[in-house]
Amino acid sequence: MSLRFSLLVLVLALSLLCGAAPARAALVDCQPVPGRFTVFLSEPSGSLLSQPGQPRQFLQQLQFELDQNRDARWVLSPGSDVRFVACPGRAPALDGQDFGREIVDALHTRRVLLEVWGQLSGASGPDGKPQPQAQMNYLLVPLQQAANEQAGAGGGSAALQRLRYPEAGAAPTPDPVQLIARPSDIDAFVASAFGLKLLRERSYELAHRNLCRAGQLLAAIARRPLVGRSKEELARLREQIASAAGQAVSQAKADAAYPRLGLLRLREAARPCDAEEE
Amino acid sequence: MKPLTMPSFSFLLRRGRRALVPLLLSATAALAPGAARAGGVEPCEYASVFSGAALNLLVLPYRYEAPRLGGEGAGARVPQELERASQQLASLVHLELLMGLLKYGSIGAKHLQAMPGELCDVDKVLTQIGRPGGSGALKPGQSAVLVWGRLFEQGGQFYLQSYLRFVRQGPQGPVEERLGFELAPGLGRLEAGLPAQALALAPRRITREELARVDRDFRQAMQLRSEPRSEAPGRSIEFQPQQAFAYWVTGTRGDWMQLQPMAGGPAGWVQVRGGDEAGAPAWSLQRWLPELAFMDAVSGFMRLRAAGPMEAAERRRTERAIERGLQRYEQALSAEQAPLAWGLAAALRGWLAWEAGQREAALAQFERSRALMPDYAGARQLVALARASLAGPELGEAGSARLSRELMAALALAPDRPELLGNLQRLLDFFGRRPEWSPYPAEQLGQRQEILRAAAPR
Repeated sequence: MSLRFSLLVLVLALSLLCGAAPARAALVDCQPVPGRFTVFLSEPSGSLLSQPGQPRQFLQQLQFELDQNRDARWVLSPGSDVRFVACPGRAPALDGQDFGREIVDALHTRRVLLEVWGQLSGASGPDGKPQPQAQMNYLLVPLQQAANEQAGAGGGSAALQRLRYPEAGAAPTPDPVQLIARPSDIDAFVASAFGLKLLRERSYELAHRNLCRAGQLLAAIARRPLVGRSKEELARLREQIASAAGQAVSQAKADAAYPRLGLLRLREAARPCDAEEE
Repeated sequence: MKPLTMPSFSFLLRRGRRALVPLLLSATAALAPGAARAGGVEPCEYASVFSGAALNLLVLPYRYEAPRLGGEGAGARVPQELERASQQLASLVHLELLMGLLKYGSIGAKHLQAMPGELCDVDKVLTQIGRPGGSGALKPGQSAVLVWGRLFEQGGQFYLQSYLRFVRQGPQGPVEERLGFELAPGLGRLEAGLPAQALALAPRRITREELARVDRDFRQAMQLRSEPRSEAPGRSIEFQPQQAFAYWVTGTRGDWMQLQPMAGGPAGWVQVRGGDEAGAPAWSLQRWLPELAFMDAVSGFMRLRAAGPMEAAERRRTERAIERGLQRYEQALSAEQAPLAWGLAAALRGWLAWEAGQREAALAQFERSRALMPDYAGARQLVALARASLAGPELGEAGSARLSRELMAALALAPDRPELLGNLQRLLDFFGRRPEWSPYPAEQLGQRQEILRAAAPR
């Protein structure tokens, strides 16, 4: 066997090995809406959107759908004006390895609250009709940023949340946008990220309101039949959100600038949202 | 088939919409209480209600919105046909809702049109019709349901989205509904509102062909006949979106409605509710817009809230109609697709059940509403008060602690909700008189009362 042939075999073997590992995707930049809190909708991987132009179309439809859902909840709007931005060409790796400190800092500085991406694949449903399946990832940027700052301090961050669709018992849909554009899921993560961001900015009352709201929405997700990693990650996030709500209370009370008759003075840090004890 | 037109109204509209106002206002004023069943069109800036109607429905424009920046077709000029379609849809929504609402008695329905280039703002309309004692404004006890919407395009598909808001006139202007709860002697009445009295309903896809077909079907069905029989000679109502549509509804017979144009022209009978019991009529817009059934149900709910006596049989009929409307909507959209509408529907059902003395059933509905709207303070508060009320005639120590926690949880979601702040104030004042039930030490109680007083709206 010649040296040249041996090298070729080695190169091929290495290529195969690299192919077996998750590919590190190119993370192209995306522009947030200036002056607004933004949610990035990045390109999902997987077999379902393999045709040229499909990912872009999918992202535009998803953005549209989420915009509608946001508008539909306009009566609540607790001080937030969150915009969804489709990011065609931006395709993070499924495991979140792209989100190193620099990238997360840049997102955080530009008021990106959440980045959503994932993997979409197709399968046949029980009736033989195609039924998309998805694993969607939600990176809570303020939480990831805080985790990066505290690296080495121990304790796993819940900044990356993963949900699978459809869930057991859910009505089947052939439309991948309808499959993943779950308003309450996105809303839960947006409220979580927004509350954490506001807490860092010492906007205690608005932070508290968003964090308590996030707690309710996350609890509703937790009541669904989640399994494995998703369930554990969500439980950890709920703990961190409850803890952050408690911090909003304790920090407000300790802050000399917080009003003497501010509503957060009604609350205890240990029970920041006065959750039911039963 | 010769169309029926309303030349005098059309002329007035073409020559100047302002000229229409005195005519419509005089017609409105002439509407006698008890015979209040009327429909009309008027410019948005002169929005008024039928003074004798317990319930007024106002349909504001459905606006066409061009595709958003970055989407397909962004920046393109608004196609005239789509602008026309959106105007036409508002007209059709008005007609269909008016026809459906007749079963509630004492109703008026108007279609408000914006002047070219102007917007019809729902807040301004509400201010206009809510001025206490104002001309053309609601009288205390009367209710109003406001409906508006938008037509937009995305990815080559058209979508239609409707919005809904409903109020009742109080002595000082529009107020939201309140359900009273007596939880313990000496506590006084605590109040809860609905989770929401404004709602954006889920957008619905509608094709251009469907838009055209709705219009065509409707025109075919809208045959004005000399007698309330489908075999009677008829003529089509040539209805144009920009044309005034102002009728007295002078009678009904079964599925037939008798129309009397306000500005002259032939009167006649129209078959309007040919399938109300079994489902929407064959021509109904509800095939595409099930939210019309939801709006109908909400209107029925507000009709029940409006002042004035209502016989028990009529009340039962109205309650059945509300339930039919809610069910029709829920059959068309799943709870996953429209959780807020489902949540509000559950709250409405619970409210009616509570008023009927079916307290356990009401609590179950309130709990369902809360599950569907977990981040709505109003939904949480309804459950808290209903549960405390059902627990017994006395709150007790444990009940007080639980109620406090639950109201505080609701307050965390909406710290500015007035009736919630009021409830907490009353509860703490009560704890001052019954310290053995108070979850707070005396010194904390005083501080809490002070904070809540400071937060309460002036």
